[in-house]
Amino acid sequence: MNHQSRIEAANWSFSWRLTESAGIMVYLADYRGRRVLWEGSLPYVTVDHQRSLLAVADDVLDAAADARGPWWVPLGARNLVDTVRVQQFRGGIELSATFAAGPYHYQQIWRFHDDGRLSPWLTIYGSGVHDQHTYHPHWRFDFDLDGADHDAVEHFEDGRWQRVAEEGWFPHSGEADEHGHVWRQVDFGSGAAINLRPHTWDDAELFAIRYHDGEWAPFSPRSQAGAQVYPAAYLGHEELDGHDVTLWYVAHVHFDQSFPYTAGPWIKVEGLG
Amino acid sequence: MERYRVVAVEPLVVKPPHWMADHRLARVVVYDYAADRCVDACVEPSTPAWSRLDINRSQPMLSREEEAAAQKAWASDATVQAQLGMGDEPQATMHYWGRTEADLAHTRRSAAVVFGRAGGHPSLVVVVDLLDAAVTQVVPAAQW
Repeated sequence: MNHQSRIEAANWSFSWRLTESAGIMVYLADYRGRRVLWEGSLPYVTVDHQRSLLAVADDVLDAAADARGPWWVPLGARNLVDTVRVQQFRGGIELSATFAAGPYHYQQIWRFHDDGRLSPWLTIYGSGVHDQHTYHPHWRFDFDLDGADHDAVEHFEDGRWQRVAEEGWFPHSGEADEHGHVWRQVDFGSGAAINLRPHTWDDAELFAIRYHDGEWAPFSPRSQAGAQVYPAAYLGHEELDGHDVTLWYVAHVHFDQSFPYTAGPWIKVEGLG
Repeated sequence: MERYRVVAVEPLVVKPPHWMADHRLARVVVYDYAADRCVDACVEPSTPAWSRLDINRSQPMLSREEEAAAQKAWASDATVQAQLGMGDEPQATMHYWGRTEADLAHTRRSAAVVFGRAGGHPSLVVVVDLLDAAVTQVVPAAQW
């Protein structure tokens, strides 16, 4: 069974491999011969539960239920169903893999379009342990647009693109530019840009974090007891302008009976044509 | 209980201009039960030394051995046995932690085993303390 390879198709050239916990990782991705992505993966999908039954008379049970945290399973070889699929479609090429763990089922998709669009998505299905639960898929993107440095991150708010000065957390407030883009990473040198547009119901947010060696995709959301989970645990106040930046796209998807639901950003590369 | 569990071994490519760029590296993540800590190391297979070593308090994902240990821990627990229905079996083992100190799993490495019939809806959730291989919570799935 082949769990890694290099692909050249649809104006893209990229490598991929199946990880232990972060699904299909794509790395060294070039569009029209120019570097776009050093590495991208789906480090984890945590699942939170809300109360489905009220235990009015049982304070102890109430306290225990309120204390319950999230859980997750790694998306990797141990939960892979069949194999990673590589399929061409009209105008592009797609990687996909299905993962199953009891009542949780996911299909991860990486779709590369010949016009520079990139779709790292996750289709969520399965019942969960009961209806009152929320999925939090976390994608990590280390975009290196025409090289690692000389980049800036911008967030569309108050009707215009605004430069992000330092590391932070930038939720989608509902505002977007005329193309639906909410965040973008711009390369000063070439003027090329990576634009990110969330799915409508993702309730998405973006973490922009200065890249540091060692802060690779973690093997867990949990940094330590009582502390912030990743990627928030990586946040400080470091400047971003002109530096290498890592972006985390996080969706918050509440389960409902209309599932399956597909989460993840639409990504559009501009200026590398 | 063994002191160390190897959680993952994966290839690692470090970005230039780091000195490890272009080196053939493996990232090894180990959980140290005795010290309750995570060891995250880069190893260059062609040399005997660590290229990088980070020891921290993060809780990495469960190793496959820990998943198997969690699924064995419930077998001797009378409370679990009493609540399992006909045909119930482990469906999935989740890496779980409590949100506050009211939950033992807040500070202790834990797993949650989801039970149900094969292909059916979950019926029971059993939380296992992996340090002591002991069941700490048994909760009907509908009340989780």
